[in-house]
Amino acid sequence: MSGLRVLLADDEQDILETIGTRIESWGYDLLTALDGDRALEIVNSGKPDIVVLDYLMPKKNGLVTLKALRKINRDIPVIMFTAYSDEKSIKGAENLGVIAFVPKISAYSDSQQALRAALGMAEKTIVREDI
Amino acid sequence: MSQKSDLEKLKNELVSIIEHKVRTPLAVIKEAVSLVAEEVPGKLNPKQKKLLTITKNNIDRLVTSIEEILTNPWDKLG
Repeated sequence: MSGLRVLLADDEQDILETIGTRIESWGYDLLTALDGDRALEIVNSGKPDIVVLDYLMPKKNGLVTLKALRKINRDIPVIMFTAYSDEKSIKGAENLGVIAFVPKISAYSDSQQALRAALGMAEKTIVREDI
Repeated sequence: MSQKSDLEKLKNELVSIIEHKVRTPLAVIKEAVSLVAEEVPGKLNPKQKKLLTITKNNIDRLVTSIEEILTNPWDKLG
C-alpha cells in the first residue's frame, strides 16, 4: 500500500535522514520528529497512519512517549525502533500495542527487512480497521 | 569493593557504552551506504558500486564483531 503516512521519531537527525529515505523508497509518505513531544503533536494532528518510535530519546523517551501517545490514539500502529537488545526494549511496553520491536542494527537479522515487514504488519492492522 | 566486582562493573559500563554510542552511528553508516549502493539517490558507475559493496561488507563484519562482544562480553573481554 503506498501513500500511507509514516511518522519516524528519533533524536538522531542522521537516522531521520537515512531511515527516512529508506521508508520513502518503499512508497510511504514520511513525517519526522526529533523528540517525543513533537511526535505527540504530530499524532495529535491526526496525520500519521503508522508510528516508528525510537526507544531511547532524551527528555521523553520512547516508552514515555508511547504511553502518552496511547492516551491520544489507542489504535495507531506503533513500531519500536531500538539500538538496544530486544529484552531491554520490550520491558515496560508489553501492553501498549506495539506491532514489533525492530533493531536499528543487528548481526543476526536484517534490520531493514525487519522494518519493512513490521510496516507491512502495521498496514494490515489499518486495513482490518477499515473493513 | 573487590577487584573482581570492580572489573565486572567496568565490563558492564563498557558494554553499555557500546550499546549507546556505537550501534546508532553504525546503523546510520550502514543505511547510508546501502541506500547509495542500491542507487536509491541516483546511478553509480561500476567502480563506485564495487567500492560501496566492499564498504558494506566490512560494515557487516564490524557489526558482527561488536555483537559478539555484546552477546558474551565475559568471554571476549577476558
